[in-house]
Amino acid sequence: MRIRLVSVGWIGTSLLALAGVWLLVAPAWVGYQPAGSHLLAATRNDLAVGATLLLVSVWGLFAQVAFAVHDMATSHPASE
Amino acid sequence: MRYGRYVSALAATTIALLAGVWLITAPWVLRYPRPVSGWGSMVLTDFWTGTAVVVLTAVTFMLYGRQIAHAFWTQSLPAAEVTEPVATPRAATPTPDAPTDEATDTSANPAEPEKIPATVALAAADIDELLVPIATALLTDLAQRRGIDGNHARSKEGDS
Repeated sequence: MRIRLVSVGWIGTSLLALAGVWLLVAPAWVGYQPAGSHLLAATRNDLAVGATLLLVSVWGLFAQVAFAVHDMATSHPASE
Repeated sequence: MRYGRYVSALAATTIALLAGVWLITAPWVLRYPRPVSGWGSMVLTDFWTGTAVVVLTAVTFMLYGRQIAHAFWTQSLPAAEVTEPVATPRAATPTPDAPTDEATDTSANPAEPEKIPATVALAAADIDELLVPIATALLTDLAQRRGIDGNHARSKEGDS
């Protein structure tokens, strides 16, 4: 059985990570967070959700590679 | 561990889906300040980013789902568990004139065909494919030798 290191789903997960990055920069990029003032509720929410999205997506990508490497190592004839 | 990568991917996608749904509803739940007319940049940013995240997670779910289904049905089923009913030769080719010995043979159960693991069946088919050319070559060689011996015997009879 051929085990691929990356899969098609990687594209979706990578785009989700980009969405997380966008949410982190959106308050400053769009300009609804004034510089130097207290963080608005929208800014705090976007930062929290963006960081969550980024971390979860990166973790998903990393876990996929880790599991794929593990499967490759265990299915190799030399390891049997 | 074979499904670990897919489980982790689906877990990450599920969390992202929840984040997208939250982003869509957050402007109303958290009561973002809005201008008198329109939604304002905060609401627009969160709403459309949330919508994009939800659409992305739906596509990602489909992609991973396809891979999981493919892996489940074609790759990860242990070969020893795949059994297919293989009819015994007697049950497969019953001859009407030849009496069967079902009455005397109590071990045979014609209603339930013998189940042989697919790997064993495949190995038997491979052996058949290997043996048929060898047998054919042997028969051809035997026929040629018989022809040579016959000619030799006829020539000896002719000499005497």
